[in-house]
Amino acid sequence: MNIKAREICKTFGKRPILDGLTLEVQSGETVVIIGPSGSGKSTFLRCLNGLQSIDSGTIQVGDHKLEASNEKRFSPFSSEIRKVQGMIFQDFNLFPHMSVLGNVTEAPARVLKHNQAEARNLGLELLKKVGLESHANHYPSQLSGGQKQRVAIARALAMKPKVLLCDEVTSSLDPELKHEVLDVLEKLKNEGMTLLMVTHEIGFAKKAADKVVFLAEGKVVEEGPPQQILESPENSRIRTFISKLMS
Amino acid sequence: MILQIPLMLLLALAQPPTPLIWAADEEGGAPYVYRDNKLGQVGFELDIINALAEELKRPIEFKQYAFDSLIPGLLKGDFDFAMNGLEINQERLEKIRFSKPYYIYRQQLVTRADEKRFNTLLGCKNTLGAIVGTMDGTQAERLLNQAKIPIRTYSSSTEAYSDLISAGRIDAVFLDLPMAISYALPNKRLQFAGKPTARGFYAIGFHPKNETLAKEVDAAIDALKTNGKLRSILVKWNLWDECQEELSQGFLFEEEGRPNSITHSILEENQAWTINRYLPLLLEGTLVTIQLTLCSFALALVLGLPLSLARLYGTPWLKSLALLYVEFFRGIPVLLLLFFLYFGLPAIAESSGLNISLALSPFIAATLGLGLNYAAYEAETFRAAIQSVPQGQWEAAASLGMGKTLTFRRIIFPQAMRIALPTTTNDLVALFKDTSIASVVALVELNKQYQILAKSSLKFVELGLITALLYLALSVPLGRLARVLEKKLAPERR
Repeated sequence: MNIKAREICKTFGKRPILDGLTLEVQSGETVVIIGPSGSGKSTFLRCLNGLQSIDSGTIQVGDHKLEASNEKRFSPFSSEIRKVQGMIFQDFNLFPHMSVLGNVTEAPARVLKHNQAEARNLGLELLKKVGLESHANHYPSQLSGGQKQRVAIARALAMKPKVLLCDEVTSSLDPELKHEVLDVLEKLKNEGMTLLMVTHEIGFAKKAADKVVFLAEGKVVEEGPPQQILESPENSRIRTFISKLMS
Repeated sequence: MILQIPLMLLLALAQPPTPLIWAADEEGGAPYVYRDNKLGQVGFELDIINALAEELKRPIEFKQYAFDSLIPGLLKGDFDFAMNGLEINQERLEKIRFSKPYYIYRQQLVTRADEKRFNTLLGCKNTLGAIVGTMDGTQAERLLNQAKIPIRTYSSSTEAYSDLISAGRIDAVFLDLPMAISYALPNKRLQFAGKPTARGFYAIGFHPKNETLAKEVDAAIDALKTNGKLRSILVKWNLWDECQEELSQGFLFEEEGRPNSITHSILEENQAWTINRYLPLLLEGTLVTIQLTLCSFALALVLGLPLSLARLYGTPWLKSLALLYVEFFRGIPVLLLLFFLYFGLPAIAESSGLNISLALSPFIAATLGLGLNYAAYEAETFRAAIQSVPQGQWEAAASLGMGKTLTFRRIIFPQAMRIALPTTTNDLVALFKDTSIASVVALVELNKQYQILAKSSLKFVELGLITALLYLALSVPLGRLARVLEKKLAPERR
C-alpha cells in the first residue's frame, strides 16, 4: 500500500516543524528517514498515523485520506487511517497491566471483535514470529528492552496493517539488543510489508532500505537509494550528519 | 474585731477578691443559661449566680463547659463549681459535694400537638416504634433507659424539640420541666403530655475537698431562700410552682439529710462497671462505625469517579460544575455539613412549605455528609491518577484503532486505579476515623459510645484504651489489606 504525503505543514505554536514536506512511499518499499534532531521526523510519522493534526497539505494511505484540521477540534481517536497502518514507538508503550499475550490480543479482541480463541491463536502465532511465544504469560516489566519492542511489533501486527511506521524503535535499546528488533523488521520487509522508519541505524539502512530520505527543517533535503544518500550525497549537510553518526 | 471590718473593707477595695469560676453549658439551652435573641447571656441560673455573687461578695465568672463533662471537669479542678441544672443523684453524690438545692425539678413529657397515640410515658412505651428524645447525661435519660423506652439523645434541648417539631424523627421529648416551659409551652405545635413526674433537686456541684466554699455557698443559698430573692427569680422565669415551697422547709436538707429517697432504684446496677458490661456496648458502637465507613466510602467512590471524569473530559460547563463541587465540599468542614443535613434540611422543607419530609435518619445524614465530603477528595485523587498514566498509553491504544472510551476503560482506568490505590486507602482510614464526627447528629458510633460510657463511669483511661484498641484493630488490618490489594492488582510488578 502506497503513501502519498503532499505539502505537509505543521507548526507548534509559532515554530514550524513540518514545512511543506512531500514524500511518496511505494507499496512494499522500505523507506528510512534520517535527519538531525528537530527536523520533524517523528512529527511526520505521528501526523501520518493521525496522532497529530496537520495545518495544511494532504496525506493519502491507500484509499484513506487525512485532511488538514484545527488542532483544538482534532481527536486522535477518529482516524480511519490506522486500519491499514501500525505504529511502533521508541518507548514501546506496552500496556503494563496486561500480559504479553494480553497486549497482543487486546485490540483484535476488542476492536476487530475476534472471539477469545481466535485472538489467542493469532496472538501466539505473532509471538512466535517475533520469537517470544514462550513469554506469552509474562508481564512487560519482566522483559528486556529488545523483547518489549518485539512484543510491540507483534501487537501492531495483530491488527493486520499494510504499513508499519517505526519511530526510532531501537533508540532506547542497548546496542546488543538492537539486532533482534531489526532482524524482525527485516523479516517483515521480506514478507512484503511496507516500512517507513525513522532511525539512526545506518547499517540497517544500507542493508535493507529501498530509499533513504534526509529531512531537515521540516523539508526533504534529498532522497534516493541508500548508496547514493549515505555514501555520496550531493548535499554537504548530509555528509556532515552521516560522518557524525558514524564516529 | 471592730477594727478588722474596716481593714477588710479597705483590702477588698484595694484588691478585688479573686473571682469564682462557674461552669455551665450555654448550648444546653433555655432557661438555665443561654444566649437570647440579642446574643446576650441570660437564664434563671445566671440570675441566681448574680444573687449569690452579691451574697458572697465575690465576683463569679462564667466558663463554658460541655454539660456531660461537668463532673469530670469539676474533679479535674477546671473550675470552682458547676451549676447547670445538675440533678442530685446517688452516683454523683459519691463523686462530688452538692450544695443545698435551689430548684425542685420534675420531668415533663412533651409531644406534638396532634399526637393521638399516647399521652403518658407508659403509653409511649406501648406505641410501636415511638422514640423519645432527651439529653445526654440527664436524669431524664436515665429514667428512660431504666424504663427501657427507645431514646435518642441530643446535646441540647433545642435540638431535641426542633427534631420533634420539624423533622418528626422522634415522637416525644422527655426533659426537665424548665426546658419544657421555655420551649414547649409557648409553641402551639407542641403539648404537655400528662403531669410532670419524677421529682428531684437541682444543686450546685463542688469538688468534695472544697468543703469551705460549699459551706459558704450553702449559707448564701439559705439567705436567698429566706430573703425571697430565689423565689422572685423563679417567679420571673415562670418556674415557681407549689413544689418549690418545700425548698425553704429545712427538713429536707439537714446535716445528713441527703436526698437518698429520690433516685436510688437506678443506682444498684450502675455500680458494677466491669468489662463484660461495657464491651458489648463498645462493640455495638464499632459495628455502627464500620457500617458508616463502608456506606459513606462507597458513596464517595461512586460520586468521585464521575466527578473526576467530568473535570477531565467534560464540556466546559460540566468541568466548572465539577470543580465547584470539589472546591465546595472540600472547603467546608464536615461537621458543618452534617449539622446542615440533619437539622437544616428539615427546617428548609418546612419553611418552604414543601409537603415532603427531608428529615434524614442520623445514619443517612452521616453517610451523606461524609460521602459528599470524601467524594471531593476521591475525585481529585482519581483525576491525578488518570492524568499520571503516561500519554504514550493513549497513543499506543489509539494507534491500534481503539476508541477513546475503550482506551479509557481497558487501558487507562485500570492503571489509574493502581496509582490511586495507596491514596484512596489512606482516605479510607481517614474516613474511618472521621466517622466519630457523626456523634453530632445523634448517631451513637464507637467514639460517642466511649464518651457516654466514660463520662458516666469516669473510667476515661480504661475505656479509652479499649476504644483505641478497637479502632486500631480495624484500621491496621485495613492498611494491610490495602497493601495486599496493591500487590494483587499489580501483577506486572511481581
